Amino acid sequence: MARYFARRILSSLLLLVSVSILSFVLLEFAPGDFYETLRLNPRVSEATVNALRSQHGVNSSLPVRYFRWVHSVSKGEWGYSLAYDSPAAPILWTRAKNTLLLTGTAMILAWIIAIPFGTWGAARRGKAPDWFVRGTTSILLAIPDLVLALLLVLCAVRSGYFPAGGMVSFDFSEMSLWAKFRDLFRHLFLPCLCLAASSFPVLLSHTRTAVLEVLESPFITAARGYGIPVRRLLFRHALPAAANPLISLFGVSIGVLLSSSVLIEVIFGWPGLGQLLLEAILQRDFFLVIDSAMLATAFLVSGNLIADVLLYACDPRVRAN
Amino acid sequence: MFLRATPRIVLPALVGLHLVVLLAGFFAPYDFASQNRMLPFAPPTRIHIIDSQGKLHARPFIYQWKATAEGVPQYKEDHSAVFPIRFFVSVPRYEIVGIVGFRWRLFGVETPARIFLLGSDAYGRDQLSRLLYGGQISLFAGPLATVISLSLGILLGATAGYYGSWIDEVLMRFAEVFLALPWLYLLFAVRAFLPMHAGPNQIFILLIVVIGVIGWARPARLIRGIALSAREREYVLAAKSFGASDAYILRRHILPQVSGVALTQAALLIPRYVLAEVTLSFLGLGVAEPAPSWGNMLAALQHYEIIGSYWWMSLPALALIPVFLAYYSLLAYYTVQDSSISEAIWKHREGFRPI
Amino acid sequence: MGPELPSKAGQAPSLLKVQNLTKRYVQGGWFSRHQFEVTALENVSFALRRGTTLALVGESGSGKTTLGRCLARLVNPNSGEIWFEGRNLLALSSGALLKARRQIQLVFQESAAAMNPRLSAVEIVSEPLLIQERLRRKERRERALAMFERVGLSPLWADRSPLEFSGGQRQRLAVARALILDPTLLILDEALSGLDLSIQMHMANLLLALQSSLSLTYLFISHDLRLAAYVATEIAVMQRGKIVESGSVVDVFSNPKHSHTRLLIDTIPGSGGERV
Repeated sequence: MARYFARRILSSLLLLVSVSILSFVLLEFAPGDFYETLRLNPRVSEATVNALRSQHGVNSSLPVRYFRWVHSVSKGEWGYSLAYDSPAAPILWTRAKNTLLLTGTAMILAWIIAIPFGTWGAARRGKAPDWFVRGTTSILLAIPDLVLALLLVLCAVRSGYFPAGGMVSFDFSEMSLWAKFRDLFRHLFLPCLCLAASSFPVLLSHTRTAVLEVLESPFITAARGYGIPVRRLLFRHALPAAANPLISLFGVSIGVLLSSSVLIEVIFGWPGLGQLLLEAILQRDFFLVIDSAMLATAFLVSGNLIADVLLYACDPRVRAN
Repeated sequence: MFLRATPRIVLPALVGLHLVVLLAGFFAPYDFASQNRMLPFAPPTRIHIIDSQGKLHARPFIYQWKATAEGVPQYKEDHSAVFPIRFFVSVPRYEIVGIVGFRWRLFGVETPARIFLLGSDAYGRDQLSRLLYGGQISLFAGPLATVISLSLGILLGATAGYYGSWIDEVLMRFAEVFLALPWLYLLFAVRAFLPMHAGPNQIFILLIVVIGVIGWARPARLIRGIALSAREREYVLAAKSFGASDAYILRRHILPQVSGVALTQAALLIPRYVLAEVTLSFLGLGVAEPAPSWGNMLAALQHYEIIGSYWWMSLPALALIPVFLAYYSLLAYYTVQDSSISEAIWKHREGFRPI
Repeated sequence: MGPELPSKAGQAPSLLKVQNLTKRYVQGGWFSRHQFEVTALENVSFALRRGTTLALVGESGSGKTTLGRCLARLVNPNSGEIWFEGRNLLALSSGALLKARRQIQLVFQESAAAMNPRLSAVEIVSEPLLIQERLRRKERRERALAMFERVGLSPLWADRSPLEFSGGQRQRLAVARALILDPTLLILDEALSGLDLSIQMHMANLLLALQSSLSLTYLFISHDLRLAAYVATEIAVMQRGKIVESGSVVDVFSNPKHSHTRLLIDTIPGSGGERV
């Protein structure tokens, strides 16, 4: 078992390295750099701009820049942000924490609702609950997350109860612990809801399908024949058997969630990695772009690793292999 | 997910929508860039048949909007003059999709009145016209980028699956790298390496190519799976024993199997890509003003007061919903189709074949 | 070292002569620790005379299918030679190989798997023509339909999917497809094995009739000794990749020399342990 995971971790690391190289290569082709706008300023001389460029190593060749970046990563600095004029690492960590908070909560929320409802819909196939589940899925699928986000912002503005954006209020630091918690919750609620809603339909329909398949398998029929009550049947027997595809889905849904979070962060003004990425791109802040992309990939890859671990733990067939 | 006759209704509707959008110049009363600074945020023009004196007119007509206060976008109908709606109006020459010249528009009114069926924006530009012209970019981005993704996916996936060994390894590792990055992050990063400011046509092509190319990995994997299993089938062996070349086998035996998956992938990818274009333009990474895209039209909505006071500005968002519904119903239909065909084939086999 | 079939003086030269054919498979991927070799064929040698039927019998895993596939050049052996009509099949250029493929045809066991379900029956039968010859569609169809009649299938079924045929009819279809290029050697890899017993008889008789009318040579691969005895004139017994015994059917059945042969004969259902 240890060997299996050693191999998976190794291949994940290799993947991360490949992604970093790919990102560097892609951005190599980017026209213009951070100092482009500075150059347009007539008061700043060409010489100054060039000096700034060489100081930050913007002009060096690709392999040189790559290795300097790797070196910087090993030092814990993760490169240098030209816009923020500081090592990239501290900026990244704060943003990363925020993104994790948002996506983590959204993921938990989505799964917590999807599993019971999906199971219920599968159990009552063809009847009212099933139609309800399928109808909800269709409706939610049809509403793109952009639209949903704008809609929710509108609600926030109209209702006045939820703040329209940002993560914390102005006077956050002066609040009591309980007030802080409530403030954070109010800011978190809408973006989290939006994010959860965007991934929810897929989770719901896949849960339903997975449970449905299991319910039609012979061993469930046998269990039913033994007279095991329905609820116990569902949750103790059917659901664990359906765990395999669901865990794989979990791995995939992390990526989707991370992607969607970019847009949500921007619309709700949530200070996370996605928003940072957008800023960095518009300003051509090279290292921040690479770093946020890499960090997001790292989250995705670790999510998949966790999914693999779960799969290994839950499915005896995987262990036999 | 409910109708079995879905494609018969949905497909023509979609095609019709795309045609209308393509001929935006004809269906729209105005050009997308023509501004009317005196009429910012005008509400949708109301169409009347009975005028303020109670008289019935032969033709439907409109009243002009008159600003009630200086600088504030509030309007009242000006009952002093009646402007009938005319059909097939002759206009100065414009171009359909930049290629064909044309001189007629479907409807319009005489100046100085303006017919804003869906209201106007901050610069007084007709939202209906912008919606139609914007649809050319947003709606077509989907199918065009999907064609690129699917072509790449079929080419690389079939090659990897059919030839196997190191080609397969290399291609699939490559695909994994693309799949490891969260999709939108990758899209942004790649968009970053392209010029920010270019003409709308170039940006459009750029967007399509970028969106299409980075989406090759998932279809490629699926198609590789099909090619892999098809290659093992005995009828491929039989064809080889007659001396069939690889090209023949790919063409006759493997690629037809791919069509089912390709259709479902298309129905899945097109709405996703439409949304990608809208998102990119919304965030300022896509088509820029004055060229309209549903995305950059929605960017105005980031100012919260606008949604509240001027509801018609959110129409591009609302327009996306039926389009998505249409594609997802197609997806549901094709998914059922695909699985039922393979089920039917398996049912006919004698004996039990382990998967 | 497999025994060679005795070739008597004055007889026609062998159509097919196999010498020291060896095929090994390696299991396990590059990084797996469980790499091991499976020897499917080991130094297999035999000869097949024109117009005769050689039955290749053995249990599953004995290597008979691999041998059939090597002969059809679907699988490449590690070493050895295959002489067909005086030429080494393994050393042919691709152009010559294409021509040689017309002469050797393979009929598979599970015909449902060996036919693309999306094609119609006539398209399947005429596929070899499509690949090998430049005939127009109408001519291909005519020849395919002629073959239909030869194997006893009604041409009315030409446009149906192969899945709509019964097992026995599908095998006829497979035979029709195999014969359409006018081959000299037909390799039947468990071709009758999945069929009902009465159908097996019909098919066996059909094969024998076709053999005489079209001057065919058969290599009949099977695990069913009774069927093999009915159809073949000579027999070779395989065990674990080697030919352990060979000779004419009469000789081998009345006087089996190898223990494995005896085992196979004893386990024929209804034989009561007696020799045929």
